[in-house]
Amino acid sequence: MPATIIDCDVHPYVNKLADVVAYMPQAWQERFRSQNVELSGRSVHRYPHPAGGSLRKDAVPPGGGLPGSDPDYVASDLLDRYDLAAALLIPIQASAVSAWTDATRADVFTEAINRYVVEHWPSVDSRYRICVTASPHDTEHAAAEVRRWRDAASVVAVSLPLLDTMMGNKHYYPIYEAAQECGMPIVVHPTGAEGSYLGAPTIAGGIPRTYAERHALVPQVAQANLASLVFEGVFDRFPELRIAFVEWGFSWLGPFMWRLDQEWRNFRSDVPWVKKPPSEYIHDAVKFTTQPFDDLSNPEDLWPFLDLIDAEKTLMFSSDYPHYDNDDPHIVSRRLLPKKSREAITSKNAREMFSARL
Amino acid sequence: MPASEAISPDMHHVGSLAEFELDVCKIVQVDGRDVGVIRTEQGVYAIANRCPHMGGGICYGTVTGLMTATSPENISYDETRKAMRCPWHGWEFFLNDGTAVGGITSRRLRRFPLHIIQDEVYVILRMPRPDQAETPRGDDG
Repeated sequence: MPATIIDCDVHPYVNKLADVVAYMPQAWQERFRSQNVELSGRSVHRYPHPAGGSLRKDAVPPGGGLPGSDPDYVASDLLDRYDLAAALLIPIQASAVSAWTDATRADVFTEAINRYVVEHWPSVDSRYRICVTASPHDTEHAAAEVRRWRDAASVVAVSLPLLDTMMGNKHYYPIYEAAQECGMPIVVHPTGAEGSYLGAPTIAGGIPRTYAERHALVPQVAQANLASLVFEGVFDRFPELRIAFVEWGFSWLGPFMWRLDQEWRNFRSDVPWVKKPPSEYIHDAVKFTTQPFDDLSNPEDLWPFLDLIDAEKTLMFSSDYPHYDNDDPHIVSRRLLPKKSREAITSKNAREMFSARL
Repeated sequence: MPASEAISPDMHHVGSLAEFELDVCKIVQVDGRDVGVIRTEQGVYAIANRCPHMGGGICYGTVTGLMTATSPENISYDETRKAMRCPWHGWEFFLNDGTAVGGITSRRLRRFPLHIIQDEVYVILRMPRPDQAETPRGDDG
């Protein structure tokens, strides 16, 4: 039986800053070495993980290094073990730039990681597909970086770390224009900076106290940005743009779209450029991923929520390997999803989203 | 507002044209019911005082033109396409045909035929009296 499952959220890690610095211009190599930059978007002291870190201790490569840092080991530990057809690599360390303040430094860093991952991963296993990262600070510069990867066969999408400027704002339009032009979807994934830094997306309501509390509230950022995309008219301005919301959850989406549609009906004159119900824009242009799958004692309790969002068109499988809260591809596919939706959610929807590049 | 004068069993005199301020919905009593009469540059209209959405008193709302846009930076306002905006949830319905602005619903605002004879305004009302009416429906259109 051929491999079918496509994993839309796998994190390749760089073991040490020196590995990335080698891909920078000489002056920046010197600057990064002397700064000894930490490769993490989350402020680990503000919200310390109760287990001391978010990486799976059982996913450390045999030769050492960070989980997710050895492409050979990830191929055997994830792709072969679960017979995956493809894995979308999202270099989460590059998303650290969302908390940075120097736009040029962020450009240099993201471009170096892009080059590092493209050079080190697809050559090991052709099932690896890459999201290059577009720095959210200087978006004209980031758009040029997106276009640079247009013809790279292994590059399928653009990872966009978010700021507290929401996605509907024209600040991001150069990146959207480039992504649309190149046929590459935008991938939005939590960076770890949410609620931790000035300039990063805020958590609504106030400041959570613990890792658990903050983690429960992170989907608010996706909800706010979805509303922003719709009500700012992004999908009419960029009709071919596709966006994947990865690791923000999905069971909230159905009732949230009800609310968006209701506000559109009540306030049409406030947003007359929005030509159809928000749920239709979302259905046509946005997809979501499964992880973290809602962990219910009876998985079937979740199935009505899949129907609410037309999950057979809008939901894609993701594991989040090698993070502590990753989902097992076989358990999700065989036990948690209804049989009628399995093929669409584990394979078809990802192929549609990332098209021929997958 | 004095009680309307019925010219025929269905045709009710509701006032002289000059009594209706431009682009304002004036509520008149016709056969025991509230009817909104609106004089605009484009025509004179009579509507039921019941929003097709939630049954709100739409005649207490605002007569508005049509706000459109191609983007947030390019909004335009067509004051020749008049609509009634309900004071409850803001749903808008075109006065000329009762359809919802922006296609937000397939329901229509109920309108009544209206005649102007020598600057006198008459509304045609064939609805049953309230004490003879069936249970109101959520959808008037």
